[in-house]
Amino acid sequence: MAASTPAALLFVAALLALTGAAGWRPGAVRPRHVAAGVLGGVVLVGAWWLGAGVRLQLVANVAALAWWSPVVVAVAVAEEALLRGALFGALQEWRGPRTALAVTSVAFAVMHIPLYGVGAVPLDLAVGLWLGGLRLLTGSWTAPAVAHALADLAGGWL
Amino acid sequence: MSRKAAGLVLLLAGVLLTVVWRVTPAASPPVYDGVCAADPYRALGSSPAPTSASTMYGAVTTGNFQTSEVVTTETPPQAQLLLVDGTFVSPEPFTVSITPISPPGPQPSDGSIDGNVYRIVAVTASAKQLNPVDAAHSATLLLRATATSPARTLERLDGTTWTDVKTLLAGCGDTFEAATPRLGDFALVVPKQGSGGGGGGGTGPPVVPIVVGLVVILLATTLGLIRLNRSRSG
Repeated sequence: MAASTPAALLFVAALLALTGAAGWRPGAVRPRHVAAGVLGGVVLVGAWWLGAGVRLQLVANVAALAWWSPVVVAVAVAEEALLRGALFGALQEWRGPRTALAVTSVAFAVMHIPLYGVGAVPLDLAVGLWLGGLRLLTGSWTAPAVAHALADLAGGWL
Repeated sequence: MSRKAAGLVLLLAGVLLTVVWRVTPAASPPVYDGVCAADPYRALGSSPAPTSASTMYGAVTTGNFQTSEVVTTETPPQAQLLLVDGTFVSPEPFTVSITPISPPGPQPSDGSIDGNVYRIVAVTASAKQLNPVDAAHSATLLLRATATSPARTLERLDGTTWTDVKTLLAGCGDTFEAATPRLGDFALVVPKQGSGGGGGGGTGPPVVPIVVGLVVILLATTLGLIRLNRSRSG
């Protein structure tokens, strides 16, 4: 989530540095968690399609997104590493899964206010809840990271 | 929390997502998140020129108009009109169009026009002008500004005066949105005390304050994490 590529890369670096400083390590990536993330991403895009009634079609100028796509994936993965990885894990151990789910969902929504405004809070709360649900279901941050990245890519590619 | 409870959370979140997308003004691009890839703003009279857009519809009876959008072709679009189910009723075919126009004579009293003025109309084959059937079926209009700050207000030209419409920031490309029960001529207006109006090249969102603010939030989060870890190990 950033206004430009340099800002996005700075944001990613800050997130990963802070996540590392908190002592969190990502762990192994398991195929079933990736599969759950893909399904989760499909649901996020499906909700957009069903709820907003948009037509889904590939954008005409796909080449223009060649540099954009890896940056978007990096931002999504870094956000998930901090929220559904480090923060969720620490809170779950400390106060239980409900607190972890609530705090990370609210944090996710608040983080997006500077760029999208207060009007985006209900949507981002719902998305945070969905990604937190994936974290709870799989026990891994991989699934929400994959779902988040797919949904963000869809925002540019569709 | 059990897998069943996690499944319930997902079910609740899925329903919430669909409902929020339904009730939120059908705007807020991008879908969820991302890095904004915005071309420079195209002012009327410059090259490349801003684009127009139009969509033709057949005759529609009450409640039969389908959700639709009319969008110009810049990246992101400089003007978007989002229409919900039942917005229009017309016994004959009609066309909804968006056209950048030269600023009309009257100027806003509370600021200066930023970017282009757009004429947004729905006109039937017999030249009758249409508007949304009621306020509950207002059209959502998104216009790009040349910058985000200071916040712009979307205004509609009603005769000889510009009328404010409740405006929200819609994200990528300095885009602002508002719901309007009437079509007509629209523009974004920079408040008088602000600067940067008049349609010049934009500077985009204030990147540095945004990044600094986020880093501060994240630092606080991380410090909290470290304290948690220490309290557990202690």
